[in-house]
Amino acid sequence: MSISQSLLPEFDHEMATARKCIERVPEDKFGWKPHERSMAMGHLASHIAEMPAWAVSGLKQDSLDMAGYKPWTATNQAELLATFDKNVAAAREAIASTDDATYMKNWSLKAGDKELMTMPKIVVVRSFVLNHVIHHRGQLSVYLRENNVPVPSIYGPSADEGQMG
Amino acid sequence: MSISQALLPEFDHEMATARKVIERVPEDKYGWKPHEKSMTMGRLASHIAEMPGWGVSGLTSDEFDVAPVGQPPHQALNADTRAKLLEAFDANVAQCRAAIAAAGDAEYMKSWSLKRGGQTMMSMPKIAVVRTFVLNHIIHHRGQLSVYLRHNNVPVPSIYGPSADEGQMG
Repeated sequence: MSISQSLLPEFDHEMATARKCIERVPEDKFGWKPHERSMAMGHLASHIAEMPAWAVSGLKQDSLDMAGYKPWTATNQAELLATFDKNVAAAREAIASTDDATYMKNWSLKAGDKELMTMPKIVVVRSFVLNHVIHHRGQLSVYLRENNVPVPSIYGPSADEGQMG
Repeated sequence: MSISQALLPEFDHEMATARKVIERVPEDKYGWKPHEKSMTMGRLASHIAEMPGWGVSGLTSDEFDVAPVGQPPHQALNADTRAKLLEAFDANVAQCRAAIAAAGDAEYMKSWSLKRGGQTMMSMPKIAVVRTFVLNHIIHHRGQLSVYLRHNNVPVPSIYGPSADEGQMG
């Protein structure tokens, strides 16, 4: 089994669950945050939506310069989901078309001339995209709960949905 | 590269971060929850601590029955002190690591089932037990716990990048 074949089912599964979570963010709560130092709900959902694009950079280029990077925040649900869907489709295509040898090559995150971190491209997809999306999706599930939005089943039933047996 | 070799660096990295997060849960806040339908902070941290144990079951047996017929059901961990929490986490992580290291590639492709009272609730290849049911699942709940910590003014460690409290770049 190639690396892309082993990644794709998991990528599809986790992205489908991520979409289920971000599409539940109420538009009138995009500005809500649980704490003054937290990301607002719209920003958190937007961060999830932009993250699959890192896989495209990771797989198609050898570095990305963060200088001038501004976190993106959607202003409504249509914009949020359009960006998510576009980034997921591009990431999926990049994952599918990368061969095993390329996955072992390095990719660097830079700020101007300064190297912030370097990792093999497989780690970009696994950790920097997949695990990172899962992490923020977990945070978002708490935001949803606090706003009385039913939390979908993610790895098993939530208190709201997907009870087994 | 074998499947074990591919899994271990990521397992070690994510478990180290998970420990950093659960060890910050204040003992006097184990009963705190953000919403009446949410898990308490102590239960959420305990859920993270017990989860690597699923990796051991996944790799050393072919099924786990949470409520076997005629036997007492599996008890979820609900640690009431930090010492008990970290002891359970460390023991489960050590056993899970050993199980990951010992499993050969062919073993990872075999199926494992989660059952209740003899009924299969889900079946997946053993590689998916480790990748999804253990690793991704811990990452998910660790993310939730980071919100619980923030709510209680506990500094959130750097997880995949700087938090608002720690690990600023540059």
